[in-house]
Amino acid sequence: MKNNVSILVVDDEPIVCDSCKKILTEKGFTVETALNGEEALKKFKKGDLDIVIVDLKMPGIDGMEVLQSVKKSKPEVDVVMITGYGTIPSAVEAMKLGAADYVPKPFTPKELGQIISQVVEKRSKLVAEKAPKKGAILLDVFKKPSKVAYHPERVWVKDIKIEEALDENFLNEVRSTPGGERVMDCMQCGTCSGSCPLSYRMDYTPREINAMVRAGLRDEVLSSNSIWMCSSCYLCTVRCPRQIKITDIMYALKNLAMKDKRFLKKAKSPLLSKYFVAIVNRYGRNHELELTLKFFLRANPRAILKHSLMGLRLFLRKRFSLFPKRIKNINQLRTMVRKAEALGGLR
Amino acid sequence: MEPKIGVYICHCGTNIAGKVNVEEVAEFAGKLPYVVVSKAYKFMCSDPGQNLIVEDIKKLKLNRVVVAACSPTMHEPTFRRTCQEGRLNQYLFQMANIREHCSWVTEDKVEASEKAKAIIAGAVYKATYLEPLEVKKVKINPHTLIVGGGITGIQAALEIADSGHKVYLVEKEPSIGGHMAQFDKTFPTLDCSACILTPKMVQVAQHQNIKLFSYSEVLEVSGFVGNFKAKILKKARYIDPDKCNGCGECALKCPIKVLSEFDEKLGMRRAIYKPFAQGVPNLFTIDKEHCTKLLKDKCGLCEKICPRGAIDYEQKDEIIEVSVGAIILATGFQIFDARQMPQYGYGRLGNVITSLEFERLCSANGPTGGKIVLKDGTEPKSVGILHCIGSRDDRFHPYCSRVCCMYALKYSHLIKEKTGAEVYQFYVDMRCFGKGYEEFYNRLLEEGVHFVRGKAAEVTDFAVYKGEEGKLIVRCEDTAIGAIRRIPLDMVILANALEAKDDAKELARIFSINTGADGFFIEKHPKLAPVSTTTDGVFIAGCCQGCKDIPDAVAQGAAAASEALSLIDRGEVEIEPYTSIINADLCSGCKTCIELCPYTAIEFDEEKKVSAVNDALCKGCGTCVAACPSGAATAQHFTDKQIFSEIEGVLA
Amino acid sequence: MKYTYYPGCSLEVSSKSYSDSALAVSELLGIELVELEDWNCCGATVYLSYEELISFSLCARNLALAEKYDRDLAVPCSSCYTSLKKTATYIQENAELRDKINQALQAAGLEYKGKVNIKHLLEVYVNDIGLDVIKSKVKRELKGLKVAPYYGCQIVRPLHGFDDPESPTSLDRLTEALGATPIYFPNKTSCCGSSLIATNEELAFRMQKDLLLCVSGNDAEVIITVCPLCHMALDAYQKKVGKMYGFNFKIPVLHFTQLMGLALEIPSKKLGIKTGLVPLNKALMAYI
Repeated sequence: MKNNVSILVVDDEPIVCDSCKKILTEKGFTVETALNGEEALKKFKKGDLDIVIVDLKMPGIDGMEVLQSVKKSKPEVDVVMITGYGTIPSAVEAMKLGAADYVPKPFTPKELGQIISQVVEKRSKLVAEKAPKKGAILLDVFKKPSKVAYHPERVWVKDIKIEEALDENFLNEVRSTPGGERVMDCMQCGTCSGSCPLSYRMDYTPREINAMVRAGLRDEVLSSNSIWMCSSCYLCTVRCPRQIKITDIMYALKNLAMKDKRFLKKAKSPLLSKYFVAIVNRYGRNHELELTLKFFLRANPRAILKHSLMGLRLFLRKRFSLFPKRIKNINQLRTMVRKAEALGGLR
Repeated sequence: MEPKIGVYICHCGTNIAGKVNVEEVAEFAGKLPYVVVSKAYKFMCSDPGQNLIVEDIKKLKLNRVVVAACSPTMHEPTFRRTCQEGRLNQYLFQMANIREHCSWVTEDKVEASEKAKAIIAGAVYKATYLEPLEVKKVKINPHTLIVGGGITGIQAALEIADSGHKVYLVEKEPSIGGHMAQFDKTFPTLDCSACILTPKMVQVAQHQNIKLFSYSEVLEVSGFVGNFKAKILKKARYIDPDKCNGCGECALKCPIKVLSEFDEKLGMRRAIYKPFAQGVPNLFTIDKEHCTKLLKDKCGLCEKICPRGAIDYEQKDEIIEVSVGAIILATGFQIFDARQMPQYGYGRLGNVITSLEFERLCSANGPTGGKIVLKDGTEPKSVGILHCIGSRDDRFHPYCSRVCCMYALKYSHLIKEKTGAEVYQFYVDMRCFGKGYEEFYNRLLEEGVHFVRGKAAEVTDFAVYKGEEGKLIVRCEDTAIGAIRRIPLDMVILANALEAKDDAKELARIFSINTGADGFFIEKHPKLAPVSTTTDGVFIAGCCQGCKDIPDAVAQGAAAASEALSLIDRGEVEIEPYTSIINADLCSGCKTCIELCPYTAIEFDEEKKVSAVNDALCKGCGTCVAACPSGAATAQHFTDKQIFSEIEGVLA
Repeated sequence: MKYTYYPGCSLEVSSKSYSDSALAVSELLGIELVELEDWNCCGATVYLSYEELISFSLCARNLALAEKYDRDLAVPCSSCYTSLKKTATYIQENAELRDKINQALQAAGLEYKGKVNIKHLLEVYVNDIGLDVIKSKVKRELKGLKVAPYYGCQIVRPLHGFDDPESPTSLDRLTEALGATPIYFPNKTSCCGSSLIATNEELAFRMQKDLLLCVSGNDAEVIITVCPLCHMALDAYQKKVGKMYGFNFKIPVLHFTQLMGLALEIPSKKLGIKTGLVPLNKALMAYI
């Protein structure tokens, strides 16, 4: 199924160029590749391109410069940025400069295909206003949280961690929360991760999270599934030889990720929290039925059927109530919550 | 005589001059009362710097000297000597610390200069009222008391005894040898511990200059450097040491079996026993806690058996007093009780053992004859060694125990050699800092030991996966491969921390020294006086000062011996005249000071009905000065007048 | 003895039998549990994940309400217990947090001075009442009943101090006082995974599988819990967990107060013994 859209893929990693070419050719696009900015701009001047997919970080002429030159000479050409970990703020910057969208590394063939299809669709509609939809992709993903952390086909390119991409302030953000004070004392012994009943499934183990907090890898930490896997059993905390309150640090990180919605793509837990908070703010107490229904409707509607039988059995034993109980002085509670909210939290 | 003060300000390279405007400060000091000269110089402690002072004393007839430089611990003795060279009494010198107290700890240059001025003014004001004092000299008793008969104490005792001086060696247990006697091999050379230790123990027993008090404890110490008196409790062994020849007939017949302390309770001994065959002295001891004859007047078999009639149930504890000039403490360590960390299962899971238990299992004279076996008597096929149990842990001991990495390597080698089992080390950081240690680590890497980088999180007997049934499972994060692992093992050895003995605080009190936050005895200076203490004439060596391995312990034993000998050979000792004096005219005889004096240095003169300070005992702590209701007590060199003047100077 | 009683949301509905049995047992032991007027949700782990300050404030409201009475606060739910206790501790330790919480409370016309003593119901029974008293009230010794005393995580962690965080014994000792036999099982303080059931069922089930496997491997006839969330995880999901991993688990799960009630001869209906989803077995039926 050949279409008449031609794409130029620019990345200094040949493996990325090749994978993208393979994925996109299969979808019927005409694909050219370039391994650096200079080559890309040459090919761009020569050819008649519709879309340029360019890596943000490259030696010499980087993705940002390629974007600017392309937009200057041919504004109708769409540019999609490839971004690595830690470069999301620059990606946002790129969107402001007119990039159509961006693909965060690592990505699956499906993800790349989706994004390019959207760009193509938009082009074909020839929408008059060309305003880029900032951050829209991540919000979409949040609506449908991706289930797997590991994907065999994932295009995974390891890269050098560049100092400039680190967030110096991240450590202070964490240290200033109750329980976060001792994060500097970690000696990387791994007792926390060895004790954690769930660390085996985390993107980064609690020990790694500690190291990453200190190194300033804010985006990686906040977008990892680790923080949402913590079941709050405090075993790490009571065993840590340095008495670091790791569970509390996990809470601090969850709070930070919650505030900055772009990190909420991998986990269902934020959704559960959101509904729980809404219910408690409304009634002052939890209402299990409402929470379960709302959560599963959004997160996994099929599960409702699976759970309904158990719900019925609990209901028969009077362990399920249809109606919420509201506390008498709900206004007092709401005033308090509003005030706490106005105080801007702990940070 | 009107004071004439010379003030000398040291640049200390850029250490002081980098923060303090020394010229401005010198000018300021020159204007202080009674100051006749004020100079700044690059290095006051250098020869030209010192000559500056000597010449000024002569030329300008200075009668007080103030040097503003580093800490008095560093150079006060230097400048006192300088004053003496200029024929000025050394106690007319005052030091102002503008380095540690000022330039090193102050960010802002202006603030630093102002602070330096205040410190110097304080020193000048104090110097105005300084008085000449004379150093006291006391003869030194040439004998030495050594407490602790482990390898450190043995080394120290032999060094001193070989030089021709008498040593009293006190050991709490029935035999000397300490922990080293329990070990099988030593790292990294793998030579046999007993083979190198036993000859030294025998030497101790035979040395004419060593008087060994085994099964004894020091109860009380009084006196001061060069002139200590110690009370030694010689516990009753219920054996006549002159008759017992150590034949051991008694122990063969004794019906009471007790868990052997020497074998870490892995084997049995009798109620009449010698801790181990090579024990020194070659004497048996009756354990009165278990002997039925002593407890209930039943049995008495050993008395009947003993061919030499050495058993004496009537023997009593004895208290012996000795006089010595120097004391060396080499009281050693104990190991951390791993029951405090239930996650490792010690005490609950039979095949989780401590490091010392393993030493006994491995030792040829141990309960299994040197066979490494599990509780059921079979050989382990896999063994794990868990590092840092109780060490590097803020809840127990924040310090590194310094020997565990190395003995863990030694164990790995021995296990592989004796059983061929797979060995896993669960470590946080491999610390192989000594001579030949890194090479030993490399050797073990080549021998195929599994090094898992990550502290073990727990040991459980709950099998979940295939191959875990009936095993001990160690769960940990292997940080090197980035995975959580469960490793099934037959035996787990805990590398327990070394810690200060339970009675360290009590010993510190008896010998008037201090323990640190880690519980070990504190040395006078961590680098420059590692075996001295703040009590002159009392030295520390070996693991009672901090965790160390055998080479370091032996080196410290020798170092302490050398310090003690150097003290003894001086013949007499100078005592700082910073003592209290009690003005008999003002003293009302209320005895408040006598009650409070921590050094029992004040006596009551019954004839004159007044208190008097024994300046040989007085440490000049000033407790009596503060307590005396009639103001009769004064601390020399720290009189009220001097201190108030100093305060005035700082605030001026 | 009189305590202010904070049941928590779970005990209102899904674990009502826990509350019923707790009240019945307490009455027999001479304890009066007075429910805290107009209490609100503690926020649990879920609100804490969303925003710590508000979550701490929710707990602080309860503490402020409880402070009006000169009584200790008894909490049967381990999760509520940890939330409340943690809040109280951090209010003491962290000046900035204290200041912000106080501002939020003030806005709602409340004040918390930091005087409420928070105790888990197990702590009340074992330490305040004492095992000797409980033993003396036992009417029907649960001789030979093999009980798995499951503590879960939050009752002993983080370092609340009333029992050892790694190897607690209070529930074992209580079991013994009732005449039953507490079995040894190594993961008695492992997490039940209940906080992940909704969001990551597979991982939660794996944790429950390990627990149930260990308990049944050590021949337990009943599991007792001190937290409604642990109870829900082990009781309501037991069948599903077994199905997923190919085991036929059939171990009844009781709130520890229900077991106490049996020994004190409180009618089983009052204790809500039959409200569990796992059917009772022979060993238990002997006492009903």
